[in-house]
Amino acid sequence: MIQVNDKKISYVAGMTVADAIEASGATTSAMTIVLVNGKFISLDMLNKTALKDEATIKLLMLISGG
Amino acid sequence: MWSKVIVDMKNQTVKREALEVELQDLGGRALIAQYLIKNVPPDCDPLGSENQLIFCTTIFAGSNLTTANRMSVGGKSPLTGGIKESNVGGYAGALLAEHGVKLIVVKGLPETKGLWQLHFDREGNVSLEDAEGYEGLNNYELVNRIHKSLDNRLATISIGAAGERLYKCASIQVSEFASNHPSRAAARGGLGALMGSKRLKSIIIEKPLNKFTFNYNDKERFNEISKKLNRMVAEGAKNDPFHNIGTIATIEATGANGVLPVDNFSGKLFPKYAEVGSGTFLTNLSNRGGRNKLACQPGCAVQCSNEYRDKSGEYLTSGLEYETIALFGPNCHISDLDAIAMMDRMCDDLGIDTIEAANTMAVCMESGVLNWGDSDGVIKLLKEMTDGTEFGYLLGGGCEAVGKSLGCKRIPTVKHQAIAGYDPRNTKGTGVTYATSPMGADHTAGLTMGRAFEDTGRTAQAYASNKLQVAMCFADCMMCIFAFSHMVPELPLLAELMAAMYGGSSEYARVTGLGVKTLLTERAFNKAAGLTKEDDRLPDFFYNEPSPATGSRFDINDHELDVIFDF
Repeated sequence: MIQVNDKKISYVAGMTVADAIEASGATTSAMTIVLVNGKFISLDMLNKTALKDEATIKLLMLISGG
Repeated sequence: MWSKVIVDMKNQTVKREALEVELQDLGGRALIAQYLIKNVPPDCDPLGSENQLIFCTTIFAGSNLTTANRMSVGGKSPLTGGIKESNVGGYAGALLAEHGVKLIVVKGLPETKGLWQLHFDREGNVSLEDAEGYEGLNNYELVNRIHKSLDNRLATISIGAAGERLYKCASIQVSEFASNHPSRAAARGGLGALMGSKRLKSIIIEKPLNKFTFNYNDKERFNEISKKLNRMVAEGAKNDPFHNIGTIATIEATGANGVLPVDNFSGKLFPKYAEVGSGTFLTNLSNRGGRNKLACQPGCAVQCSNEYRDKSGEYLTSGLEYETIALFGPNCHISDLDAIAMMDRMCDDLGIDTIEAANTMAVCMESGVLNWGDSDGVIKLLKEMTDGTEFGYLLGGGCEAVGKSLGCKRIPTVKHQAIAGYDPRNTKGTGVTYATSPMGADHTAGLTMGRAFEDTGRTAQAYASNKLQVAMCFADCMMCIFAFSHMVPELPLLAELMAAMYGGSSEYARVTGLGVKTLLTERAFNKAAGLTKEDDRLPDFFYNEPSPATGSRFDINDHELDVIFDF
């Protein structure tokens, strides 16, 4: 199981961060920041970074903290 | 056409007239920069008669574009000594637009003792009224009394005792749309002191009986585009933690990476950061009848605001936000969210910037005035500020004044303004923004976290900062940046919106040019005010002390900082 923000999706072997985000129905833009298990992944690495089962992905439109 | 209202505090006159043609299609940060560079001597005394206090709406104010009713406040900053634009949500921007007013200019200083309020009544009249009966009141009591005195839907813009006392950390508070709480803050740069120097306690904007109708160049086209953009924001917000939780969700991003400031920007990690994170926040909201997903202005699709209650279920504060939590929390070694919420309430009520005040408390801890983690001690010092004790007045001078007075070696300020809730060693592009923004160390001016290749590396940091500073600059002319972030894939449509509203070019360069021109104008103002390259630097300790969490130091060299705005 992979957690993408508040959604859970099934893990598939070989899945990348981009695959998981797509499967969750979420989208990214130039202003999205992506954290996998608390660590930043740059946008150009989303389809090159493989996931392990039970990973947590956070997507934030982090433009400032309010 | 949009109007402007000119308030002359010396002669006690109020004049309403058409806004100059060249300012009609500006708004927010751009309008403030262009007005100030032409009308305020950059070398003037910020609290003297030559400085002017400016309130203005955005380019798209009064339209149906989501979050377009944000409001900007500007003037020469009493804290930084440079130009300042501080923007805020709440209800005031929407009601100003309903009155057809884009700009309020407050000039001069009164020659007689007194205190005044500016009142837009329901008939559309605007007048300066005696407010001496409100002298010394803080924001919650003040706004409560104003609402009791007027039987109409209204918005307030106000200062507490901090502004009256000219504290350089004084904010201007704006009431929220639904609750009327004076909990949205134009916080940065001490503009509350500028309002206090004018002896203007509040601006009251009643909902007008006759709503101003703007004459669009092409209203059908405007509605078509705004509908598309609003849909994008609403769809994006569904999966946005700022909507589903609140800005406190940022702690999930900063806590594990050494970006969250800890113990006066020591660069350490704070193992207990989750105690002041989303889980505790949502549990407390749920158990106490608090709420999130609230809009601070009408028509907002992001709805990031919240109402936080104390343990007995009583309303405590609203808009409890990441910056306040990070800086009163881990940066003061405090992990008690209820205590932080109380600090937030005290700051909103007195009318002070939580970022400046919290950094001031961390410097007090570094200097031995308080122990690390002493939340009761922080609340006592905030009480001293409220009571106006001698030390309270010193604290009101801001982080740098207090640090210097106490002999502190590590004072986290740029252009005399305290740094926001991100350690610049571990998000170096943000450090570039802190150093070079004409606003001083500002979290809304171009936060780059997660956007350069590696936050602790040097590559592309200045590039990322430059791009984001331009984007934030034009976004601050148009809407709330939280909604803006969801529009990024369709940014060229903003130029089409401008053309549909005002006519003229629909080329995207009109929008990006607005950002570039504003930044360069602000830089020119600051240069004429006496700021130099040396003001575009971070404090030495960020260069000299590696972050224990990552080993990173701020190593962006002076040349990179000096050429960042060589467009």
